[in-house]
Amino acid sequence: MPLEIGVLRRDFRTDPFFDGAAEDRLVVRRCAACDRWLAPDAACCPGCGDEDPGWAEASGAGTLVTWTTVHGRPAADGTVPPPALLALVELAEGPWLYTRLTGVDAPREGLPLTAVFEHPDEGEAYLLFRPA
Amino acid sequence: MNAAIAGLGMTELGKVFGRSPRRLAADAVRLAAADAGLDLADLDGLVVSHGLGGSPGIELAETLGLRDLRLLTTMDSFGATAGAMVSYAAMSVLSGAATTVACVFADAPLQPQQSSGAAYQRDAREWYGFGGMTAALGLRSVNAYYALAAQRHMARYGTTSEQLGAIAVGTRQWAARNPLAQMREPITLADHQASRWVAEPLHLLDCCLVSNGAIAVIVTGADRAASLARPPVHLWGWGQGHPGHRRERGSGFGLTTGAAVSGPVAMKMAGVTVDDVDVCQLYDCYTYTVLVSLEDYGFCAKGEGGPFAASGALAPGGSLPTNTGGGQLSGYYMWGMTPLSEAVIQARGDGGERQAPANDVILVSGNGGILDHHSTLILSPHAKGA
Repeated sequence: MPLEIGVLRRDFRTDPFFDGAAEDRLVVRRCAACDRWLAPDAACCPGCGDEDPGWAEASGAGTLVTWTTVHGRPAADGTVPPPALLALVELAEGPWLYTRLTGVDAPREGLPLTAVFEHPDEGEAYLLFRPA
Repeated sequence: MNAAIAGLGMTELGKVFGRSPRRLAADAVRLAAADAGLDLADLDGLVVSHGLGGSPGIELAETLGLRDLRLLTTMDSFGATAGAMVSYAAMSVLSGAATTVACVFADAPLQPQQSSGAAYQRDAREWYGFGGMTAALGLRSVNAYYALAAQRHMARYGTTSEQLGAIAVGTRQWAARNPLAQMREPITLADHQASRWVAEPLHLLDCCLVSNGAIAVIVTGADRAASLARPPVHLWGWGQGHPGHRRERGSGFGLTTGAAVSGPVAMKMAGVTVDDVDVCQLYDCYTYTVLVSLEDYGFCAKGEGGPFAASGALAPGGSLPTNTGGGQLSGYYMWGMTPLSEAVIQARGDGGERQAPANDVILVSGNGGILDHHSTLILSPHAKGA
């Protein structure tokens, strides 16, 4: 069941990520000159300062670095939004992504994960990670 | 020559409405000057730090009618700014570039009829780009980022929620003795454990308050300070640390902070070690921040912040009185000015019921961003080298 997250749009800076997500491929930043993988929203390559490093398809494999279950504030009527299991995931290629986990019951450091994409009716596809 | 803090100005803090951050900043500078027994015209330097709720910038000089300043600037390293401002002011005084410098922080993120969390939280129906996706999926507040850091420390070192709770309980015990503190009702470890989750492993009582208000200090030469209205608070040392943890393999995020650098730099300058520190005023946006800072300063070994906090060392009667005004958890949330203001109060011996038994060496920390920036000051009621 899709998450109730609102509608996700492109921002012209990370569009290759969403092109990949539409096809269930994980596309992240990669600076070819420095042979260095970066998060899709990296402001620049810390190796050479390039503010528009290229893009490349990552394997989608990663491991869990750390996690938090976030609980929304109770609304005025006492209802509480569903909690979200958020995480920092280390891609096999090295960069860390802030992301959300699905299907993880017992998070632990180093848990092997794999990228999955959800395709809502409206807006862009979004990335989650599930146990590998 | 050495430098000292000669004046402290604090506006009303907390749910203070109807005054802009600029007005609050101006009020704090006036109070600080008056505290020092100075006229505003005696100031020849002004350094400004703003929070989230609208910016007092260098136009604050005009608001105050200051003329012929030799130093006027804003500074920003988030929660580390207060320490950075004071060290910059001290260096300006020592170099002769200025003689009497006001450093001020003001913020007014709270609105009437709004929760504290809402002041620092994002909500939207539409989200844009990769960063928007992360927010849409739930990573919308600073709480979540610090929770990720705290959880990593727990997983690596076995730190527990009860150990974090010991910090919350001890800090509240201090706050109960501070008439300036916003939260003074005693709490127990059970209260901490029963308080609602904000972002696991952080309970509500692991998280700081949000406050409106402003705090200013006046920095001048130690000799001059000695002739002013209040006892000088001498600046023995200062340092900064900006670890630059990257979001990639090998990062120390959540495990170590800039205190590991800024602490030794400041203590070396001051000619002291952790064994000499009588009182700590540590930046406590979260209980966890206190714990990890204690480790990085060397008050305990890396990974042993939890047992150290749980030992009761930080609370009233403990071996290392820490956040004696109630910190940001229970006192008031003025970013780096919270620990600095309480340090000045303790150095002057003005702590009343909460005065620490010894105050010869006081360590003050600031922490900014998501553990990205750290500043340290070493203060003392005694002249340096005396």
